[in-house]
Amino acid sequence: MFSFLFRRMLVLIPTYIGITLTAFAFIHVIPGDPILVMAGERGLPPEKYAELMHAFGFDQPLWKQYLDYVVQLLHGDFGVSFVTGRPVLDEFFELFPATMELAFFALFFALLIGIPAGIMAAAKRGTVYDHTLMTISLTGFSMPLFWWALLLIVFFSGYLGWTPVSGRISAMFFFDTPTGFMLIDSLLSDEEGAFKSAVMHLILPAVALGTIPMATFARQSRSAMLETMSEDFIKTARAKGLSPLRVTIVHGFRNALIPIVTVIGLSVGVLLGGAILTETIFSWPGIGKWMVDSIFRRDYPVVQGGLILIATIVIIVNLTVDVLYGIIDPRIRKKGH
Amino acid sequence: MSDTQLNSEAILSIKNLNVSLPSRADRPFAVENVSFDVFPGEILCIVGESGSGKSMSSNAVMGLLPKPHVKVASGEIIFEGRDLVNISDNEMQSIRGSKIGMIFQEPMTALNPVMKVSKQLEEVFKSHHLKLSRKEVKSKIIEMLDDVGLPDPQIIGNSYPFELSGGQRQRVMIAMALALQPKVLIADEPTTALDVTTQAQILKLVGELQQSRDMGVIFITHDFGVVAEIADRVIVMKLGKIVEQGSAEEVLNRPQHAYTKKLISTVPNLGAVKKAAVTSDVVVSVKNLYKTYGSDQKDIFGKMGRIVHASKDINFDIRKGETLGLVGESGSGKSTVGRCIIRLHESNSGVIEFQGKDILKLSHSQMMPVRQHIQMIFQDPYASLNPRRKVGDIITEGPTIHGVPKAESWKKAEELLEIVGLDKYALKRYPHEFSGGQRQRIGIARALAMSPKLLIADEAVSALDVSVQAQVLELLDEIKVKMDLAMLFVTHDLRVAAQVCDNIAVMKLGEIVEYGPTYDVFHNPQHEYTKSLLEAVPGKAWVVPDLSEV
Amino acid sequence: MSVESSAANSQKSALMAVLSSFWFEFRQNKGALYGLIFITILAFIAVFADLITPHDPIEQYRQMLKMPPIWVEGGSWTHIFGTDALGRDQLSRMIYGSRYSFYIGFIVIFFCLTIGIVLGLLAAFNKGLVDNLIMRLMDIILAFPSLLMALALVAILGPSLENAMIAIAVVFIPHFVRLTRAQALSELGKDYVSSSKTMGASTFRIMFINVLPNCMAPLIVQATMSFSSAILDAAALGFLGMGAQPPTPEWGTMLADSRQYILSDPWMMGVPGLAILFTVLSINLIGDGLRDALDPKMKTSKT
Repeated sequence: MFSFLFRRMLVLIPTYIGITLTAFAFIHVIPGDPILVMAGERGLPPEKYAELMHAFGFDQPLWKQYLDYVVQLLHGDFGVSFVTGRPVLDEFFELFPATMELAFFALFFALLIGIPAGIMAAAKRGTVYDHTLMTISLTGFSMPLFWWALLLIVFFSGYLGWTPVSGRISAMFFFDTPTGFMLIDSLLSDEEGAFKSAVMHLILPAVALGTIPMATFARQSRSAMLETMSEDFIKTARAKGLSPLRVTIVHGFRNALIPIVTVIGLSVGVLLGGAILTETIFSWPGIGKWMVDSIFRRDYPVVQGGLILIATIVIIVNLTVDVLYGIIDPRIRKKGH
Repeated sequence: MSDTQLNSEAILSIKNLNVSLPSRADRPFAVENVSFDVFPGEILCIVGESGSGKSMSSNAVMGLLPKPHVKVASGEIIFEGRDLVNISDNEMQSIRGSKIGMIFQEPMTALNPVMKVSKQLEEVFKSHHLKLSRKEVKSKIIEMLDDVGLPDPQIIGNSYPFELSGGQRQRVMIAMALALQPKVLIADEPTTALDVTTQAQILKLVGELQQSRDMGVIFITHDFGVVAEIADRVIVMKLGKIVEQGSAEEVLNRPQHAYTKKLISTVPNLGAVKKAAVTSDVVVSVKNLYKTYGSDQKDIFGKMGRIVHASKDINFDIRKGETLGLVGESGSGKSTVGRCIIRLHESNSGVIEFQGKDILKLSHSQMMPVRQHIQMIFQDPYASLNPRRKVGDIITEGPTIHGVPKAESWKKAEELLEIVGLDKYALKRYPHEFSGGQRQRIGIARALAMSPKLLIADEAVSALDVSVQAQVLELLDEIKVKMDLAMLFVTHDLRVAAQVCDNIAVMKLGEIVEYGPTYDVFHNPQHEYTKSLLEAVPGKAWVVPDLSEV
Repeated sequence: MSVESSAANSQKSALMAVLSSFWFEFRQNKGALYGLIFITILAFIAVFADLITPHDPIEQYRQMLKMPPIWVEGGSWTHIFGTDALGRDQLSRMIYGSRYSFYIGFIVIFFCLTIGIVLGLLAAFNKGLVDNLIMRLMDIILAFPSLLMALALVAILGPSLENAMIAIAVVFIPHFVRLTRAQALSELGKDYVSSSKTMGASTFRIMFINVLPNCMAPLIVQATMSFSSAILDAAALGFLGMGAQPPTPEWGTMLADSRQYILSDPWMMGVPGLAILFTVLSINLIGDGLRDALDPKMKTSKT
């Protein structure tokens, strides 16, 4: 198992080099001179320009610039934002908990509904229940996320007036945010009603973001269950006289987990991508909105650093999924491939 | 069968059973008007070819039909005074596994791959609400694994199925089915996927357990050798109906129904006939052929690589008009040798002299003209024909590659189809429109289109039903004689080898352990391994009756 | 009848047989049939947009800003779906928008299929360096969330519908490469390929004549699903201002325009949103139907 993980991590080295190269290339292929962009409308005197060129190392040969960049990265230096003047890494860690909170609850909501629905549909294959459920999930799967988010706002915030339209918490609360997770911080603070406000702010974006993964999970669990339930060992389990519930869960679901875990892993990329839209629509101060804003502001160090940091999250998730495979499937654990 | 069994009462009786198929199927009933009894202490064999409904009838007994599409339409299944057709799901559940046990064909897929063996056995005790302590269950499991002849039950119990061999898994399956001392055991082709020596052991085990526990066993098989080995009584099924039933001795030696006669007459006799030695020119001569997989280099973690010898110092000659049988169990490397000769695999060292030229030394372009003269027939009639190409395109692909004009090769393909016994209209159809036997004929036509001198048949009849198998073997023999071919016949089936081969080479773990004329190898085997293989052939004592006068 | 003409005839009849059996399977799936009907109608609308639009899609009727659709109080038959904030006729914009959806879908899957198949086959047939190089490259693309990657690419290329399509194609290609490679590898293990090798068939022949047609079924399904994803992603990019630029009547851009009026005039976002949803849903339904009809494995698990 460990040698298996180690091998997986070795393969990551070229991938990681590729990721840094991609991010590095970003600043060099983008049209327009980054220094001039940074200087903005006013322009720069030539000597100041040369000074900045040197300060950013843009006067060095490309390979040297790349190597310096990698060395910087290895020291945890992801550059400084053109706009705020703060280190990219600091901004990332400040905003990441917001995205994590949102993505976590979206995933939670998606798993909680999607997987049981898929299993039920498989168990009642061909019935009205199955058809209804699959129609709903295909609709969810086909939903333009940004439109769905707007619909939720129109209905729950506009028509019913139940939930706020944007932000993480009502502006009337002021308290420290030591963890960055609003639900936890609001509980820790002694402000009355803060927790409720945080929950109300979270619900809509989490539901919007979780809808597409939920539909994917339902579809995938259904087909994985159908496939597993047609295997020989299911027949063996039934021939042993086990109850249908035990056959479905202990023998069926346990084996169907592998393809299900695969889509859960893949859905993290989908969630992070979806977070870009959701956070923009709900003005949720997370890394998705941060990236979009930075792209529009041409804040290249942020875009560059953000790309690498987000890719790192995706890679960590993929590694976790590989470990999960090992836990679920003894064949992978014991044979090591 | 002894008299006491005749007098005792049936433990399971099936009366006028009909199992209906969904409306789209090619016939309305999978099982039609089937009635039979099972007595304690007997082995009842149900024989039939694929699609005969033999498995469906046993699945009906277990309540394991793929509902709702396939279901019991009418009839009774009486077990311990109750009709299993009409009892509730809960009651059926308590009978399954405790009163009636079942084992299946594929030991590789019939056990849950992610659950330890002991856990899977434990489930049987737990689900039937026996008041047993943890410790009692544990000792029961050990006892069961011991009973089915597994060494180190502790270790086996702690293993996952993929860590066990096919034979071991099948023993685990049997332990599981018999854990609660059922009155009836249903065995659905339990040895079909196993090697011949493992099969012999499992058959022996089933026989022993059945006697010591006085169980009734329903043993489903397509293999008359197996029937001869273990059956007390036999039921022959065809297209869902019982065509004949009686004692094993009667059915095997004096079959009454025409279908039974046809099936039995196609069983190859194990006793090889003495044939004159072939003395024509040598077509292919294999010398010191080595083929290994893996490497002995250390990998980046300093772990030593492992070398597997797929073939080791292989030597043989095949002459014009000769059939050499390459026999052995799975993993013996017999298929690898065939694929090395045709250069689907590259060999490590050795010489393969084809018509006097060492073809291993030829470059790919130099090999091209030789390719026309060495052709292969593959095992799986489904995977060996490209599903997206028409039969005509498949047969003419080789000649087209070698520059024969399309019109000419199509014409030849028509002739070839006639030779292999298919209509020329087959050229315009796709492979999926043909049965397994017909596909194998197409495969033969494809090989012949290249006008080969050497034909390699890699388990070419293993995937076919016995009656179809006989026809294809006959066709191969006919072609060999007509075209004066040399043939390398790779097979695991000793009965088939005895019937068709002039010479036999027995392989074990990549090496040829015995090589000689078929008659000598079968009647006077020299190597211990050959002896054990022959000993393991099911029904070896049964002399297939000569039914040729009918 | 000569051999040639009988071969040609048989070609036709065999094709007909395959098509009719495919159609039989496909028709079993009611959803797929409805999806096909919807898409056919939409295609019809897209092709004849010039003839059926009541107004010019970019003409601004200054005296009729934010006019509600006919089913809302204050609607008028001159602008059935109402007008937007600049007074442009929504129905006409919707009709022209359907053209862009097909345009996006077809261009994206054309690039995905051609590049994906070539790279996937190259990887499958050249185990070792080439395979590793191609697959690592795909890993890199897949390490970025696709929408983020597409956004970054558009930022480099400059915001336009064409660049958005290129960006979307780039982020979709890895899925096609992986699928083609996996499928080709499983086909390469089958004996019909061995048989071709024993005939002396060239790698090119094995790749394109023998293996590729057997990889097509899952690729067609994947292409269908990607068609709809491309429409969704292009709309998302348009919504973020990184796709089609005004005044292009693209549905995602139309949604973006309506965003600031969602609480005051919510109907404005209803029509383009529903249009995207139904189009994507229909294509996905067709994709599901194709999967059932083309993939024998799924078929057996259905019955």
